[in-house]
Amino acid sequence: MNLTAVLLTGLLAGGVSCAAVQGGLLAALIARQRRVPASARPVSVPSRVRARHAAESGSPRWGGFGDDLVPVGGFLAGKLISHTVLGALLGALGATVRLSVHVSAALQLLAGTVIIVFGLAQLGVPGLRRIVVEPPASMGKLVLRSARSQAAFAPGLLGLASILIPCGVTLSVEALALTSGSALGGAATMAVFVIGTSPLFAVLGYAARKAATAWRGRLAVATGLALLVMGVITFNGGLEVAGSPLAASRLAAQFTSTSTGANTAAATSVIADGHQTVQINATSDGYSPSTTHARAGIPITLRVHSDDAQGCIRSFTVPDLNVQQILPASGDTEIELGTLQPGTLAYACGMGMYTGTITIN
Amino acid sequence: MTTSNTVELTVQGMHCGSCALLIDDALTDVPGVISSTTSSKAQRSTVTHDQRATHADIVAAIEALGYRAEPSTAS
Repeated sequence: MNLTAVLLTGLLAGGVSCAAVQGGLLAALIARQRRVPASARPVSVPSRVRARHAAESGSPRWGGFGDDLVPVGGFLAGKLISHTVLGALLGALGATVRLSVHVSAALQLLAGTVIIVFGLAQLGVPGLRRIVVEPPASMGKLVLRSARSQAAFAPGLLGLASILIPCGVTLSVEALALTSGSALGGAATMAVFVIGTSPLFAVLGYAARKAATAWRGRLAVATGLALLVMGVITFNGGLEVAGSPLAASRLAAQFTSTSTGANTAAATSVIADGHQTVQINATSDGYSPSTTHARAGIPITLRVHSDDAQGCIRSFTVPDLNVQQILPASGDTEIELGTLQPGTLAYACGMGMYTGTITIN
Repeated sequence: MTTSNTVELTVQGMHCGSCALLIDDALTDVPGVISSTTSSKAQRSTVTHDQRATHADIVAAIEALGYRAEPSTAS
């Protein structure tokens, strides 16, 4: 999954899920602090109840929007820091176990399966309902202590601690960070996800708490469906990296070739001195052309021309030949494929999101 | 003399650990509630309270957050 998809996931699924629930904790915290300044007396129980009611109903007495930006910003900054650090750790961990294209594919298939199971559990599928990741009670108490702190930095602390109470969507993005292949990739995945949650967090979790209250109890279905979509995309990414004929791009290619005949957009190899060169381009949009033709029985050099290649597109794999090559952002990379028999050779980015094929005739 | 009671509630609508914490946070604000432990996995909340809090108060506090709650046992 590329970072744009992660951003959209954060913006839609993560934003709604996090905003409705963690936003409630934050709103109550701010309301308590507004009601009883840090320097003042201990909080009495009735005043805390009034403060919560103010938080839930969006009462204007706990400050204007400008005043609220500081605690909400503090919370989001804390959340961004803890999630980015975890993303870096997960990415680094994934990089150490990513021994080959096949292990990478297996990791993605496993992550996709786990995400799909989480999604089905969230949707209440019989037999899976009890598969819920619940943080240990000690972690929950730690988060709750942050939420009830009167300290000025409490919103930031709650944001940091929110890493301990991940929802299913967050867990899925953590799985993606694990399969990103590097500490930087993992950190970017988690950071982009949190940044994606921010706008809806600000709107739903804070300015429109009534709406969030109405939605909160119905989020299981929404997050379950979002997880299913993410799980299927991640699982397909594993299939693409593995070069499986069941991968979406291969199925689509089969469908296209049976319905429209030969792909007219396909390029062909250049043969000279008993050797042929196949050129494809790697840009920020993926690989092109999607299909290239080459001759069987003649050694093939694959030249990948990078032009502003970004993200996982730079992690170029040819699963059937166990080739894994990091491309430069710009420049040419030559990969010797040897002499091949007639058939179709698939290539993909390291995440299986961008693909293409070389048809050997 | 203050006596305490414990009520167990079935809570529906929780989708993650944060929901359970949000409920515990809200119940702590209800006068008379001494402690509460909510589990999103078990879809249950166990609340210890004194006579100042009624079951209706506890259910109302949970439902005000957008979840559905119903006492299942009491002691």
